Amino acid sequence: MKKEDTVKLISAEGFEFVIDKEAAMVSQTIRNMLTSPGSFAETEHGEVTFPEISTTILEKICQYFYWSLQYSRGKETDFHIEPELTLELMMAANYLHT
Amino acid sequence: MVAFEERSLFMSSLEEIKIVFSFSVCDQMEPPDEIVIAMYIRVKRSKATYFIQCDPTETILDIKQKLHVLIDQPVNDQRLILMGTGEVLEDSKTLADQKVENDAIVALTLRKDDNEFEDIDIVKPNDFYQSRDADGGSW
Repeated sequence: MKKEDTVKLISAEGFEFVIDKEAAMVSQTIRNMLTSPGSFAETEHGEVTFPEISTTILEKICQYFYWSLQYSRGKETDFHIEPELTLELMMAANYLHT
Repeated sequence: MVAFEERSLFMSSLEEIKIVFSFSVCDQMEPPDEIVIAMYIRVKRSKATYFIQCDPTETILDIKQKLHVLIDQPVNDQRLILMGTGEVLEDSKTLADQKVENDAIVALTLRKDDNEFEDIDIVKPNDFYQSRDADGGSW
């Protein structure tokens, strides 16, 4: 495990989530940021700030990334979403292409 | 190839939104390797959360070594505490031994200058949903 293989996602309230790049790339938006040459300065430092995404939602999204990786490799479990998070989570998912 | 339906759980209740997503999910998810991620834990301190991939057979020391890479703190200056039980996790034991499961939250505390460990410090977000719950959750 290397530090360069992780990325830090920062929520609207400034909370930080350090996750594997592999997990972050479940999001097409983040994948584009991390792979397009030189166009996103912040990704050179491995940090992406999401001023529109609240901490609760961003953590749920990170959990989803890992769930998605596990699921894609054959581990079939449910992903629980609290009903009150659903709308905001969908808006974030739309933004992140997740 | 991952079936589209598997990836769209966020949208399960709103059919029309699926259309927006459908073209983005098809050609991206080739797994870089075939290692199955057995589990991950969420290590929290202050406003930071570290998602650490691990296996139930790994020891707490293994986890601390992974954290060392991320936070530049020597393993001897780290203490991990399983939230929920409040149990301090021992270096020599495995995750399975101490019933640390997938998605578990583990508090990280660091050794202070006086050689003692700091108290657990996990900041919780004070967002819309929690403040609404605090108001009694009217709907």
